[in-house]
Amino acid sequence: MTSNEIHELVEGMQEWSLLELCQRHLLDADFIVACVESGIIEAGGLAATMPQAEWRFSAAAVLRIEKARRLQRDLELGLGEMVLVLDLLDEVESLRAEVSSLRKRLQHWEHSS
Amino acid sequence: MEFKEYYKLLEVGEKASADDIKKAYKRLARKYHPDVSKEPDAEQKFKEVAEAYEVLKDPAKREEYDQVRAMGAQGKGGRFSPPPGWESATHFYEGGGHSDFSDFFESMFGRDGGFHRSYAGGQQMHMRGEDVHAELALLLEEAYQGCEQIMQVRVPEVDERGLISHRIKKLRVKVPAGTAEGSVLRIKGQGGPGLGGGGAGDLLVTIKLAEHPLFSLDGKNLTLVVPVLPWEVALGCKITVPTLKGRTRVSIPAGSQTGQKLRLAGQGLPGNPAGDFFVVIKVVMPDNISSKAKALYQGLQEEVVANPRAAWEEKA
Repeated sequence: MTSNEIHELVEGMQEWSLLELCQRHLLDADFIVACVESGIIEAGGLAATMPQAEWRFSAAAVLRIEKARRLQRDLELGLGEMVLVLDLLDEVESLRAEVSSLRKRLQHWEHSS
Repeated sequence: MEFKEYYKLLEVGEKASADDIKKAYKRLARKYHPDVSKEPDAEQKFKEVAEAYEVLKDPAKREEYDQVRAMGAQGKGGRFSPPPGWESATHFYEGGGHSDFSDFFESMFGRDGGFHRSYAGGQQMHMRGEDVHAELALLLEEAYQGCEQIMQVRVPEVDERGLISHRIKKLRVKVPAGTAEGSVLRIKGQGGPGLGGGGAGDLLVTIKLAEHPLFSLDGKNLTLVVPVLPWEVALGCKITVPTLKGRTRVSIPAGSQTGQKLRLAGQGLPGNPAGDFFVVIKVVMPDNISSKAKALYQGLQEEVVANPRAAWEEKA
């Protein structure tokens, strides 16, 4: 059943506070603080100089912290290891995107006769 | 329901030590974790491995599992039903973890979630629902122009006993024009249900763009390779090229080279700033040339003195 109601997708519009992130993603505040302090996610400004109550997280940060939590829990990683894994995964992802974009362009130039 | 062979899933023997089980889990988790693995069915495989580990790592659960297994409960045709009066002494709670273990797991160790979550807040039971994630694949044109799509999303639901189950919900969604690859959009109130008067969570949607047959995408920039004839670049010309907005006329300056890029500023994907559209020139030869055309080429060969490989010869 599809309702006829149309839901509009919006970008960025709203952000999550630390408390909301804990509640709505069943995350531990200590874990979120550790992620912010190690630079895994941004808290919308200079986190170190802002009170935690003013931290704001974007939707992209929310997905990233979920990924961090999955990796840490499922692979039983320490914080340092998790930061390294996330950095390397980011790099792999951007290299993959670049390779696929370059391959695509190469298709227009190379062909066997 | 199907009896789960947890030892087989973890690729260990039934006498495996706690240490062996942990090692086996770590090895398989690295191989199949959906965030790192490129294996087909990684997600499904990882779920099974995680479930097997959940049971075998815990001595109490493992003992119960071994008992049921020894009773031959996997009996008739691989179908399993818990022994009559079976009640687990262990209890399964998860804190925001795996919420979808198999029916087999649930029949032995109980269900996760519901109560744990609903009482977690003590007296203030007022709690907003979970946010739910999904991906939406779009064609480049759809993302550029904006579109309406029907999405299927797996959302949690609370039943009358306060337990959480999942169902597939269909949603008609409107995607704004100029949506970029990897952007995260959201719909308010379409996530998990709230508790004690708390509002529902949101749906977060990550946009994935499909490859386009003509345009290659790099961030917000689009590139189109345009075949042109040798005399078109020699003399300069105006050609018509497709863009996401429709066809547009482009001037190729006289003397352009293969691989040369022409930039149509702001004609890429919209945004602030908008991306650019690049036309890359590719000089191609016509397929069949007449003997008269061949004679004209011979004339060119005599007239134009040039060596495109001069750089190599100097070094040799």
